Amino acid sequence: MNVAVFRKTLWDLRWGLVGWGVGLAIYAALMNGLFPSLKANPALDAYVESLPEEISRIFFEGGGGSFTDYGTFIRAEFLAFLPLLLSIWIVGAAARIVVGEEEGKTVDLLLAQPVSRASALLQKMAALLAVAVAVPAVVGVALVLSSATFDPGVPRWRLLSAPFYAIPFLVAMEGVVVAVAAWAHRRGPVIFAGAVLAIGWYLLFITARLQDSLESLRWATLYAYYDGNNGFHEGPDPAYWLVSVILAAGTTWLAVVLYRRKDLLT
Amino acid sequence: MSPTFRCPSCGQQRLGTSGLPLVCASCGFAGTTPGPAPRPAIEIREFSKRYGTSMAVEALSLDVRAGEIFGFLGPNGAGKTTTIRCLLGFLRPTRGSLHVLGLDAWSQAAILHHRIGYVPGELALYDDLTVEQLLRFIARIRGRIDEAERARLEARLKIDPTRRVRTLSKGNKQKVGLLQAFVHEPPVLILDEPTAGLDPLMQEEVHEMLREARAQGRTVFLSSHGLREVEEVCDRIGMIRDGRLLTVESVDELKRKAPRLFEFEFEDEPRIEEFRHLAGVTDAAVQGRTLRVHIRGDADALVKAAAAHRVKRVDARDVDLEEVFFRHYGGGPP
Repeated sequence: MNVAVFRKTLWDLRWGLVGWGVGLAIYAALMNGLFPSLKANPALDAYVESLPEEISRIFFEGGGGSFTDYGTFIRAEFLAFLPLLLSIWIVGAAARIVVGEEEGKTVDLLLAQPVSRASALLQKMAALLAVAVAVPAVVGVALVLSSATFDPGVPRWRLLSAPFYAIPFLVAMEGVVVAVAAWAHRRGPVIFAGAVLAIGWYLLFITARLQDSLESLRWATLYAYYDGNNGFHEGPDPAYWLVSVILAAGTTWLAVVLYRRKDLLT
Repeated sequence: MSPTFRCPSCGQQRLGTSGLPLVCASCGFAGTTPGPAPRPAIEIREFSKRYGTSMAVEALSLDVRAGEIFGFLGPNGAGKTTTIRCLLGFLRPTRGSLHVLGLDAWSQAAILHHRIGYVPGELALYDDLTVEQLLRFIARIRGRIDEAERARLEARLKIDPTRRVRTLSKGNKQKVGLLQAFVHEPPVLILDEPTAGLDPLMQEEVHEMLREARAQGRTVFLSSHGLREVEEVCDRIGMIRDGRLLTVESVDELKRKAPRLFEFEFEDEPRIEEFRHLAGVTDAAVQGRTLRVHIRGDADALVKAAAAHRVKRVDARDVDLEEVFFRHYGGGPP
């Protein structure tokens, strides 16, 4: 099996892996560094209880929670933002490796070689997925290492695996953005559409959490299937994963169909 | 049972196999037995390409024979690059079909690209790779690379494989583009402005590579603005304007049919009316005592009319392809 495009794309994405991996690892370490002082401050719980229920719901599902509990803290202050942050990376990376190659005109050189468009696109997506797995792995290790000085109250393997719950979300996000990129001819519209989707979904998810009347709308966002399957406390729920995987498969199929039919204008 | 063919020279009957060369035992005539003509390397049939409301190419039909260098000429925006991009399967034809080596250029592009070498008009390479890394990447996609051929071409084109692509000049990038197109020795080369940015010596080297490719039976489809280049290396030329094919002719035929230019310098001032309506004259101009006349065919009437004056100097020459081209397009340089 020829994986030359996969290897080349992986090489192209290496700085993204380093940058986002190190950046999120530092973020995780900072949160862990903060936690012992929060835990030693019971006044914080009193402050959280004094917050309006609507504000409290942003941090804690159902409105109740405590920042002195490590699991609740790291979920609310770090893991909840992980898919949003990684979405920003995946939108930029997908736009660059698919449409950026058209804008840079190197697509002529690539597709003049004996590689089908479908194969080229799927190899690029696979490389993006590989990095999308590697970044949570780096973050997981950072969570474990930076919590070595205190007892988080949860098994270390749960800490290590917690960022991996973002992977189905990222795969689905990748499928959606690559499908847009397979249709578009410029990076700008892809980044715009990806950003609108990532942030729009997030805002809708938060709004649905705040407003009981809008509660059902959260299921129209990808974040609901990440949040519902956080697994940090309850363990993974394959049903939630399935939604992301089905969305990823459908959008990947659409991306391949669109890319195969696309006029490469350059 | 083998079919029987009649010798076109002496009429004797003999057995033969369709399409194979034969020598007649009776008269020694050497030829080819009648049979199906070999399929063209490139076949374009009623090809049209529309972008939105604008028709880039309309009903273009063209054959490029196996083993020839075919020049594809036209001004900017004529539809040359659109045609080439459809031949590579980068664009989907709106109507019609394009076949290369019998394979459909759109639906069988990946298979076809095993057998095509391509240099794009606007060549872009991966800037962050070295030439060596770039060629290895292409070799990995293609499954193999002939290292000896690669080394030979690197030496011939004077390419330093250790240089990073972004540090190369336009001309050196173009040489890398040529190397990657030639290195796998494809039977068909599709080259869009292949000598753009090269110095004259390197241009001549590339022309030599094209002639060698033809001698090896490979087919070259060459788009160029360099009319002298086309004149020098091409066997036939297709001219395209506003998306329509104007003519396909051999270079020799095109030049033969083109007018010749006569320039007379007289002792007195000639009158244009004496020459304008002579047989074969396509264009005449007088400037002072100098007469310039373009004429097709027999120059007898012109020479006789000129003999009515005292002639100080006369020059005659075939117009070059550049002038033929401008006459087709009826204006200045493309």
